[in-house]
Amino acid sequence: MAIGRLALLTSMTWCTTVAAFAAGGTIVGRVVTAAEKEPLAGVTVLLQGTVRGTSTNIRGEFRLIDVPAGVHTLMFSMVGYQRETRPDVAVEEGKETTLNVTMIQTAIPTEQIVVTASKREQSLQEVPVSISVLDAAELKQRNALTIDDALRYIPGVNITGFQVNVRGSSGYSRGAGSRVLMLVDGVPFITGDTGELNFESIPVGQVDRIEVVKGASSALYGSNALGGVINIITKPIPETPETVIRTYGGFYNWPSYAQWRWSDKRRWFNGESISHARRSGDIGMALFVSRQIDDGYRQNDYLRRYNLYLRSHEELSPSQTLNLTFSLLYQYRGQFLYWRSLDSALVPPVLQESDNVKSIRYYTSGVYNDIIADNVLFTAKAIWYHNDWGFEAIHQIGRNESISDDINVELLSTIMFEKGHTLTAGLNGHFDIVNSDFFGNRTGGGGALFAQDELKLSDEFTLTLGARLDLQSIGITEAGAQLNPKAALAYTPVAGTTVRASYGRGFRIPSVAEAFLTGEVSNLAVIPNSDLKAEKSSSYEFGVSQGIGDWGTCDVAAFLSDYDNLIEAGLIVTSSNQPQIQWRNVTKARVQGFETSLKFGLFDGATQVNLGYTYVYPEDVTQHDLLKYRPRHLFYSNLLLHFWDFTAGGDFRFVSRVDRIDEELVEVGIVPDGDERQDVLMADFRLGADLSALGLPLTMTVNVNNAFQRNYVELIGNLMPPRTYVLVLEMKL
Amino acid sequence: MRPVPAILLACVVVCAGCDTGLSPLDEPSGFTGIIRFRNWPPPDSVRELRLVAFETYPSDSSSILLSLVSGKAVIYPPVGDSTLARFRDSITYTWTTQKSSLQVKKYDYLVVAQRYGPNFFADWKPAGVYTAGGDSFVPAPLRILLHRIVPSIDIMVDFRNPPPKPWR
Repeated sequence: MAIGRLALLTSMTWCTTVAAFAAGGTIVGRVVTAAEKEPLAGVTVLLQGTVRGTSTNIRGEFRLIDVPAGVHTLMFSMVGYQRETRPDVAVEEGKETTLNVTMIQTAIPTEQIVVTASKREQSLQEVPVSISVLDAAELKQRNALTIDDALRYIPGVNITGFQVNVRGSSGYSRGAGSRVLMLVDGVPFITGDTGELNFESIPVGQVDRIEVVKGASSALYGSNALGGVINIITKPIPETPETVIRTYGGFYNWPSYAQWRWSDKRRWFNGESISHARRSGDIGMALFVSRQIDDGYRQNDYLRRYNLYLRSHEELSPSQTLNLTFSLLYQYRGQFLYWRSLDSALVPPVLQESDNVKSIRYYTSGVYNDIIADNVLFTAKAIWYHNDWGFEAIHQIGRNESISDDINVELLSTIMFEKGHTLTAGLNGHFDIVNSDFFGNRTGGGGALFAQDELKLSDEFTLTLGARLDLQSIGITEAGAQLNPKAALAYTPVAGTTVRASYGRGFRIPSVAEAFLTGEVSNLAVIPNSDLKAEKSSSYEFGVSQGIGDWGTCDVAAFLSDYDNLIEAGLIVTSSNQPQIQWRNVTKARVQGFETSLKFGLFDGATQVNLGYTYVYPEDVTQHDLLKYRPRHLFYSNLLLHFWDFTAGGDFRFVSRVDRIDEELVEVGIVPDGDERQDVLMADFRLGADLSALGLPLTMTVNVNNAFQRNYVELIGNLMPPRTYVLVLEMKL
Repeated sequence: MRPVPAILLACVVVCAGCDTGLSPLDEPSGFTGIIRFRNWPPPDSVRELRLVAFETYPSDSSSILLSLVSGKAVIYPPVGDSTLARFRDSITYTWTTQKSSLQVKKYDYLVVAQRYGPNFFADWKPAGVYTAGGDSFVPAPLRILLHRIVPSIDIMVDFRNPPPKPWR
């Protein structure tokens, strides 16, 4: 009954033709810095109590039209500046009100706006769950070549063989399934067959920021949001035409030991990209093409990658926008599964020396926003994601191929009622088609209803309640109806202090790969399991965020998650005494721990420091043992210095030795020396120069990664890269 | 704010000071370099070329055999394997502890030995010696380090200007 009312309310908001806006007045103005009186571009300007807003252009100017006559409050926010509020802004019908604002810079990036916690824009300080944000500046300074490279430096996040582990939620499932959901501009982006995250399709240069929600988030996002959500927000199209040419080149240091040296040639990597973006009237377009070549530091670990990325933004009317995106990826790479032995750590087993994977992936997506009324925002999102990959090995005839198409559509409304009460509700549907030599021909799909209500109980307390009902099927026994609630409370006793507590449920439908993979890995048969059930989780979190003057913030959180029916690949022995690999629901688990982070700036932001420590205790409750591939200690630190036209920085990362791995693969001799592993101690350094003062629109950066050449594995039998040297040149025209 | 730079500095020091992580289980030790040749004589007077490393400088011919028997002198390639490549301008070699009697210790005298006649036990003479550089024939000591391949152990062999025999 409640769901029926919700659907009715939701449909009303987007089906009812609302007389758009009564003719009102206009607010125009300019935002400048307090110190130098320089115009500030990109400042978010919001009409308080409504869903209406805009941002300043390159001249710092903004314009809000059709504002109802009356007295309003405007809020101005931007990362790195103190929020400004202008109450009592009087607007008269048919007239223009001018408002000029100055903003004061802070020593650290504050006023971060996030969209992932509640599917709408919120200040990071107001969010009742743990979110980390990696912005474009941090991505650029690290010269991350793919997004997963950048994620390694977010507190509580760990990467194992391209799979993301948020606070111990995931171990490693061999590319099949993910317990973290990835979104691109809020649209789910997970392959239809393997259910894995594909970071390569998103050009790092087109990313504005990455938001990582930690903890179960299925109440808003459905399957896969078991351990968290990664939302990649792409850059807005700039006001003025912009062309960026970027090239990088680097090489891997020689291996630490002559015995590991398998090639007399220096192993190089390089890449080039060019992007152009411009606006013409109400339409903006961005084009990006890139090429990446990597010899690989290991034998048969080469890479050739080509990207094409197109995006358009159209302002259909003052209240309607449409964003369309098309991305194409072609990739050809050697497949290095694991080493021959620790003595030949950079060489694959003889029978895998020529394994390779060819991929063609493309997606097209659209996001339509419509401000139906001053307090109602309607959003429609859709994506079609095509994934075609083929695997070729020396011992097989021809290339085995898997093709999947995933279509996902979401309709969403955000309604802001009086007294700070905000309702977000929507419908979601998706459909998958898989034609695969590995998984057979499958179809699947599902639908969902969700709603979340944020209630401003008082000036200090905000209560969030929500739930999502999912009906899904991938053709396995359990079709799966899932109801996942959430509840969160944020308490802000004084400005700069937020105490938060939250509870959320999560679930994950098994991927097609986990349920239906049939084949052979290292002479072991892999058999399907159509009886797999959905994984489920319940997450609890309590945290405190504290501003420290105007130079820093500190966040402390304690968390606990219970998991049911965790799916893991393991060896089973058949009646004929033959070991085989199969994914099964194996265990109940409890992951608990705490996380603390400190971020601050000194000398007017010329020095920025980030520190983060996460302790995780990942317990297999059934076996009374620790879970596989979950490090218990994660420590990150980052220092960035700005001086004149130079930047210098360093990252230090400690990831403790994982307690457990796939012991069976070592015991039966598939991965020789596979139990060899140690703590990860990594240090990266970089130095950059902005040459624009010399009249050159050029920035130059030198990175030295793994500067102390630490030899370590993240994944069984996979030695990570040695020290690498990278030179990056970027020209902006 | 002093504690924070101190923490970061400590991180770097810890990282720099710790071991390098995983290593091969049987990582060899040894050395590598280039042997350059000049003025090759007729083939029948260069029947074999081998590297010989002596722990101590041999003072007479009798001590050579004793050193070989006692393991205080080692030969590369080992006797029974084919000779170093001949009649080239230069060769690159790598001599490690794997499949050889080379040990992690200091060797005072490294020489390229030439067998110039048919008698395997008697017809040997030094053709080149590892020196500290320059034109002298003063031998340079060579220290073999654990799990390291010492680079640039280069030797010049001039068949018209061989080093003196250390023995009589």
